[in-house]
Amino acid sequence: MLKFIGKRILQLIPTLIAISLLIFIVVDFMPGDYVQSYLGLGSDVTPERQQEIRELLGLDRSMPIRYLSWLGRIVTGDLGRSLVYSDEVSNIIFGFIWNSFLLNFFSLIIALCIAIPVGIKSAVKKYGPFDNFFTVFSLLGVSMPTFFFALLLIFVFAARFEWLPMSGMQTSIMAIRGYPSLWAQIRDVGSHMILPVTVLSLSSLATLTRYTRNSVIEVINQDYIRTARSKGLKEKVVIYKHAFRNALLPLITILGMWIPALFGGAILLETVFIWPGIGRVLLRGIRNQDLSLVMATLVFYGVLRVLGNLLADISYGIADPRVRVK
Amino acid sequence: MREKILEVKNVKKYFPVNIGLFKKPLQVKAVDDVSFTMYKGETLGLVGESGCGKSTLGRTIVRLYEPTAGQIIFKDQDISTWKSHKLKKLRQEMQLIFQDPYSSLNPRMNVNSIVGEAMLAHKLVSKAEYEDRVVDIIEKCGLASYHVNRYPHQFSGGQRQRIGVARALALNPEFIVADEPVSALDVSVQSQVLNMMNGLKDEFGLSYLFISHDLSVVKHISDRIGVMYLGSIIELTGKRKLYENPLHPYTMALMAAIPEPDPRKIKKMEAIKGEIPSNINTPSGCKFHTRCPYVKDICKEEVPEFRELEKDHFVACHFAGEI
Amino acid sequence: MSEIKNDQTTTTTPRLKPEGPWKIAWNRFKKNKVALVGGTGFLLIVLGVIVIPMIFSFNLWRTMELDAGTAISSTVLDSLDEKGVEIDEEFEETFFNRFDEVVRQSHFEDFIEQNELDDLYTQEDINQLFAGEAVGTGRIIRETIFVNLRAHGFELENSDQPPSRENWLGTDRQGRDVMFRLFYGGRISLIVGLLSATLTVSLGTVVGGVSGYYGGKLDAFLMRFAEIVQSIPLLPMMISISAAMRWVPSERTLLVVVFVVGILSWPGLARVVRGQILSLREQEFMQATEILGISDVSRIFRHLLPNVLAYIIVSATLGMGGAILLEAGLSFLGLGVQPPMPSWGNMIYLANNSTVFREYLWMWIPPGVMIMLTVVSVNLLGEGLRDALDPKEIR
Repeated sequence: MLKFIGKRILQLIPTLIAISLLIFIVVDFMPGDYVQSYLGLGSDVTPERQQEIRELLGLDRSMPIRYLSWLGRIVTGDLGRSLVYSDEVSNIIFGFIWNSFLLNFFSLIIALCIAIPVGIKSAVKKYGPFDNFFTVFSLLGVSMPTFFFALLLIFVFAARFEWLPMSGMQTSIMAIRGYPSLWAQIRDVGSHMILPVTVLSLSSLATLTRYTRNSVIEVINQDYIRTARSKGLKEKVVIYKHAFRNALLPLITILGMWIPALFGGAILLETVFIWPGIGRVLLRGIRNQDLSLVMATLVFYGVLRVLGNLLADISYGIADPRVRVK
Repeated sequence: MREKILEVKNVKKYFPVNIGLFKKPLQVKAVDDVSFTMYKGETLGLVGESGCGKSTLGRTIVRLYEPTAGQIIFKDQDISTWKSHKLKKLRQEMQLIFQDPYSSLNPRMNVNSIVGEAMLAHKLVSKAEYEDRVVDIIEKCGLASYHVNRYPHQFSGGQRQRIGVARALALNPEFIVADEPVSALDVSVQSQVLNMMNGLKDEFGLSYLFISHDLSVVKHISDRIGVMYLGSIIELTGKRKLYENPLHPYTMALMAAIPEPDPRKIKKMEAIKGEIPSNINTPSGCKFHTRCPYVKDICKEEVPEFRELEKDHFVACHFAGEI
Repeated sequence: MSEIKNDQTTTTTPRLKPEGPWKIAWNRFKKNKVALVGGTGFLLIVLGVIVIPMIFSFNLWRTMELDAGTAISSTVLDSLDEKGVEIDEEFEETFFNRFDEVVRQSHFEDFIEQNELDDLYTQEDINQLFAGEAVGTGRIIRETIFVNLRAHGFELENSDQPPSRENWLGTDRQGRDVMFRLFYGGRISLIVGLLSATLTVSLGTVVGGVSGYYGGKLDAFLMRFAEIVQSIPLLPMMISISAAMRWVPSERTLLVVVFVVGILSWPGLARVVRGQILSLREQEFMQATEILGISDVSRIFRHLLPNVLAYIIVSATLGMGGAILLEAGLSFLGLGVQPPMPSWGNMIYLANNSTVFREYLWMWIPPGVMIMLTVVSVNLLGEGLRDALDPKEIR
């Protein structure tokens, strides 16, 4: 088993290198000169001096060399410095991901709490009204552009009725002045979280319910369930004790894949809600040509995805021993 | 004198199996040194248990596979190492009938295309004549002319096999390897298809290599019968002689295992002891020695020669004729 | 044993029409009510998107006019007129004829100088107007008019109007008819969706097909490549590539969007196609083609491909839905289809402005609703196709 994991990890490395190369090439293509951005528009630094600075920073070297030196720095943990935030990129990334995590984590929990029972009931009463309703619901969920749905919710709940805050993670005044108590802070952040979490959980809800439903259906049709029934066990016991456990397995595999993704921000949603997560950081970086920030954040997203695939493979390996002996 | 159509000389077909990144692959000895001759117009039956290599042998002979060693001489030409260009021509003389009527026909093509495709590919007929020729062939195989536009799923298993036979006949071959053509069919349908094949043999002057695991089927259709065990032919002779005077212990056991419907002839049924050994680590010497009731020391050391003990009766056993 | 030559197990008469697998699938599809709804819905939308702009094309000038053409120039002329500049016929004609040319900064400067309009447009005005020059003639003109006219206290008539009899969905910030833009933008969004999906499906099929058919080292290499592409984070990379390609001239930005949306989603289909081909190759009918001496090309196109087609069709349909959503997201961020070319995504972009968001609902809600309707229809259609074409049922 360890050999299997080890092998998979080894295979990761060329993938990560390829992704880093791609990121570097793409970002390199972005318009805008680093030195000029750094110095600011309209600065009166002469072009000659600018060229000197460029040489100093090593920006005039060839692409492969710049790539390798950047790669070397990334690997040793030096992610560079952000222009936009005036701080070390590593600090920024590891600071903001927790905000994204907050949203993603709660959305996932809520989605699971709803999806699993709904999925099971849909499977048990296949094609019945309950199932049909949620099938349609899932389909709508998958077809809806999330950012639009978010806008609608904000409009209804924040703009029109003003029940909930429009955007951001905290009410600015309170954040600056400081909260009277921890509880007050939790309440404030919480109220800001309600809308984004709703939207986020709804979109994963659709996929998770379908998945649970299909998984349970497959298990229910197995012979060993019929055996359990014929033993005279109560239907509830049959479902929850036998079917559920086995149906859960594929679900766990998927979840394994999603865990790293919890740290990645949903760019569109964070933009709409002006939520200070890593997604928004990336976008700001791109708009402001903050290249170090952009590159490091992209690498971060790539690492998350690769980790997710790794975890998925490992869970498959645990669940199905045949996969290991390849 | 009977005309030879096929000579198989010391043919081997091994498949490599990878067991690890740094270890040398092992070999599955599917066909292990087989030699025999076939004559024009005969039906040679090839029987054996699952995994004995008869299918592989059949496919190697028609050059779906390239033999690992040995020679295949078809109509006085050594086709063992021929490549695709020459092989394409060969297809017009050698064909194969497949076992599974459900997967051997392309579900998205109708009968017309299935049977006629090869004809067009080899440019044997013009587009105008081709449908007539297709109808001609399928009628000979017991189907009706209006079946040409139908699709495989609209036919029964027996009918599909007829389509498969028609397809094999489309190129007008002289030699056909039939790989368990009736094994997937109901018993009642089996006889129909077998009779059809016999009729076609006479009409078209075909020679069949008929592969099956079912002794009763083989008995019905073959002139001579060869018995295979673990990649080698261990006995080969005319049908009658095989049943009346089997010389190899394996054959004898097979014969004894045939259920006898006549209650007056109660035979002692002795099961063959043991299980089939793996064909990666084949037993030393005579491959059957691990299960043979008459095993002696020499059997474990020396591979018995496949020799003609009496006229037209080949056996590979050290003690053939003495048991 | 009796010699039964003819197999008499079928009871069908000769006149029964043979049902090929495609016909069977079509019948099954017809029975699926939900899929039919999706299919019709999608057809209606496509029809609407093609026809409605044509019917309402009298609005074409009013909607596109601000992007180029004579009407813009007439607005400029109107504003000049209001400021008391004398405009005679000759001036007007020259202006009309040379407008496109004039709009380059240097020409505009010349134009101002030659016509002694210096106190209307100072050099600083001109510099400001042309600060966004790199982005395309249309945009300059629009922004020129906007900034310029605003600066001179001239509000664009008819902008920001709620739905009325004249403009069924109201007008947008530049006075353009929203309904027209909605359906014209629909063309863009649908085309982008279609082309992207085509790109994805083509890549996926070719890679998967080659991989499955030839096997060996090529297979290993391609699958590795697919794995790498699949590990690329989708939206972040799309956004970055989009931002990196800003140097592309505005006529070509559509192609860039198609490229960006289509280039990253193919590994999934490649895997499925490859898997299907691998399992098909083991089927005896494929071995039969070998024994019959059928050429490689024939084998791929007549035997393998039709059996894989079902998956490809379903994937293309569902992929189109996904592509439409992605384009909408990109355009909403300002990184997709660039104005003045409308697309559903960049119409919703307007909602970033708080006034529009709160007050001018007719500007940003209809495109969102259209996206939803389209993607729902396409998904229903795709699911219906999948059920109808399921090869397991075709036996």
